[in-house]
Amino acid sequence: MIALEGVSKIYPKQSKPAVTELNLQVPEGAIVTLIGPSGCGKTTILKMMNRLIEPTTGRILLAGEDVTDANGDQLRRRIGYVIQQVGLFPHLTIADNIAVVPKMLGWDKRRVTSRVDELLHLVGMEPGDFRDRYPRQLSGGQQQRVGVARGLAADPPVMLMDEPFGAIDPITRERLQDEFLEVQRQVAKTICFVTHDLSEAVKLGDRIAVFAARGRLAQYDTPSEVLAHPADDFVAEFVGSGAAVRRLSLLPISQLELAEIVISGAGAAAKDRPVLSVDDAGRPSAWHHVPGSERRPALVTVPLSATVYEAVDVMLDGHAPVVVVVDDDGQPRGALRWDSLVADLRPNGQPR
Amino acid sequence: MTAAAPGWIRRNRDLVAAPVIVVVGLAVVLLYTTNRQLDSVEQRALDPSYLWARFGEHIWLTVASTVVVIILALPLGIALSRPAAARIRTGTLAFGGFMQALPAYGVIILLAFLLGFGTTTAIIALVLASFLPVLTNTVVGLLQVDPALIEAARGMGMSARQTLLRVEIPLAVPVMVAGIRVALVLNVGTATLATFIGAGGLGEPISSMLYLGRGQAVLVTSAIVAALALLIDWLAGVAERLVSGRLG
Amino acid sequence: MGSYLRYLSENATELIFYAQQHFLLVGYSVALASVISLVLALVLHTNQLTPPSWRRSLQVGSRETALLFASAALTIPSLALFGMLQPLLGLGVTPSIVALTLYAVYPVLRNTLAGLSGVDPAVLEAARGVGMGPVRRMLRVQLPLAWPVIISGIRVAVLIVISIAVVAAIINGPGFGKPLQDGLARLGAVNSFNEVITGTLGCLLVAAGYEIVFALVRRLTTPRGIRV
Repeated sequence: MIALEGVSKIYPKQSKPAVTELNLQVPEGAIVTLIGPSGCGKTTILKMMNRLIEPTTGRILLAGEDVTDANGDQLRRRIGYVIQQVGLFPHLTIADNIAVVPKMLGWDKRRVTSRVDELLHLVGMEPGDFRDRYPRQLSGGQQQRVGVARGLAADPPVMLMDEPFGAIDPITRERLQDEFLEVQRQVAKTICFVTHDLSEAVKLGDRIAVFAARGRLAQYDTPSEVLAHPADDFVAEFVGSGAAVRRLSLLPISQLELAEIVISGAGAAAKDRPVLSVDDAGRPSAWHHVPGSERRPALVTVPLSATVYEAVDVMLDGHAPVVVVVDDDGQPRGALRWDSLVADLRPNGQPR
Repeated sequence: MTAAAPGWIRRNRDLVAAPVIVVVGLAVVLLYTTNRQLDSVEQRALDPSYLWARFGEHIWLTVASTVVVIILALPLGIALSRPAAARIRTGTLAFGGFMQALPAYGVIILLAFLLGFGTTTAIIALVLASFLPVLTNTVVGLLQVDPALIEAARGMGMSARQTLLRVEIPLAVPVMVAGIRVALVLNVGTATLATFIGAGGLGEPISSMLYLGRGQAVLVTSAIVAALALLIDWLAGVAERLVSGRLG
Repeated sequence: MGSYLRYLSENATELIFYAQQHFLLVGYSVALASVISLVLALVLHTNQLTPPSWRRSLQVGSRETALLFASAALTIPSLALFGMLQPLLGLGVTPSIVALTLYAVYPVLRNTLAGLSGVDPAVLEAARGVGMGPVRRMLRVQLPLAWPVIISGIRVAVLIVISIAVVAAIINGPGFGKPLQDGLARLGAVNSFNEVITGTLGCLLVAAGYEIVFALVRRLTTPRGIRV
């Protein structure tokens, strides 16, 4: 857990402070994303947490301990730090790069080596392949994975990340985000994550801290709360008009009640329910009959593990008013209808 | 060079050129002179043991001065590259750049007037003459280290000193070595002028033959010195290549 | 100090003469070297003389080779180079200019090549797109954009040559080497130290003169858009 109490930053030549009297507590094991417009001070705030920038007033607490006046270098060895440009040392191998902090802390050689391998596995890179390579031989995505591994190397309780995926192409970025969430599931670190991308903040954050100009904390809450109930006009505008649609990505389909469907030829009477044809493996092959539609709509499916956002996306793409929800084996579990989806969602985004 | 040659030969083929030039050049000069007869004066100047003694003096002058320059200019360069020195940095370097116009020949003689003739004075003059390239390159080499790397290092908990020693200096070494190479070659050249203040060296046969008007001997002795300079530059180039190769 | 000022006033005409000589010696050598380097660089850069299939490997190779030879000249100690030229070209002005020109080629050539290849390819592409032929592209676009780098190379060459030019006195060359050598030869005589100081500091004077020249040239010839 890391906390800022009454922290301000005033630069000598400027009349107004960059950050004013900030109180922010990051709960243990949570990812908090810091987001706000350029120049709002979010990176400054992040850097004050490990005192790369010294606060002018206020205290910094690491797991309850006041570290405001502690030795800066030693403090930073207890906090993981990952930056956008990665900053892998080009003259060291990948293994040596990851091993920097453990070696500084005096770990013995065997422990360091096994830790390096463990971390490379964790970020999905085969140690045998990558230990002895140099950063210039790696792609941008691979470098950033190593950057994350390097941050985790000494097993710090807290990690600070400054737009780590900012310089990566969108496709790789999405993959890195998913892998990052998976890693966090395993290591459960306390993480402070600066980003300027609202979708990333919503996707990764357990809590979002929205900052306005001069480091003013406008709202600090769960993503769905921030999207559904912006605290003031600034947050509302920042979150933008797409908030309602974005909220759909926070709704798992598994939490909704699905419309029943009937498998054609299974013997049950259709009544008013949609009828689905399946193939030999039991997977949906085509619609037999959908009540309320003149023609049979195109068949589109969405996995049960997906969110309502994906369901809507798939229906729009296929021009279909109804989508079949399938489980991991491809077996149909139910359907979602477009009209009932929109009508039955409460204004606050809660399912029926 | 075919694709069959090993990678490192292909990548370094420019380094083969220098020794080739030296060997060819020396051969041409020697062929030219063996066609003519050398008189006794010239023969004395080209006597191997005499030349060898001068060679020894020359090497000593070169190496001693280069070592001293490294000892003095590297720490100063490191100090100048630190943020605290930012204000005096441009001024110092600009002043140094302008001082390149100061003739080494003049400095050597001036120092001899002030400090007396001899090897020590010569070494001091050589140090002054080759100080700037090492200083400039050290500063530039350190300044061009990617700031993101320094931020990553400090962010991980490396102290300023550790960052300098483990990150900045290793990455600046190729540029620093290039500067040392320039200083080395410069010193080989300036050491030829050391003869004028009684420090010996390979400049002695050249100047004495010039004074006595023995063109052929001048040619041969000059060619020998030129060959030596090119060879030392080549060795330094190889060392430079090895150093940067290891650091990618 | 007083005696030095007296020395200066007594020998004013002579010293001014040396200054002029030194200035011109450097000027001719560097100018000559610049012309050679420019022509060489243009040939190497565009390489119109080789068949297209050879072009790439030969072009890169010959550029490096040219730089190699040029740097070899700079590596040869000045005394040795003057010494090697003496049997061939005798004494006096000619071998001095030849030697100094050889020295000046490397910095100018290196900067010219770097400047030409440092021009943004997109700009050249645009020039080609509006229908500029190769000659016009070079003259109107590439050279002007490379000019600051080239000028800086010429400036470095000037400083180096000013310093080496004093050694030309060994072969009776002109310039501030003469008072330097005289002072050395007449060690102990009344003005010997003054002569040595003058020879040495005179070079700085010439350098200052050239700094003014360069400031003017830079101002006048750098296109307004890229003036820093």
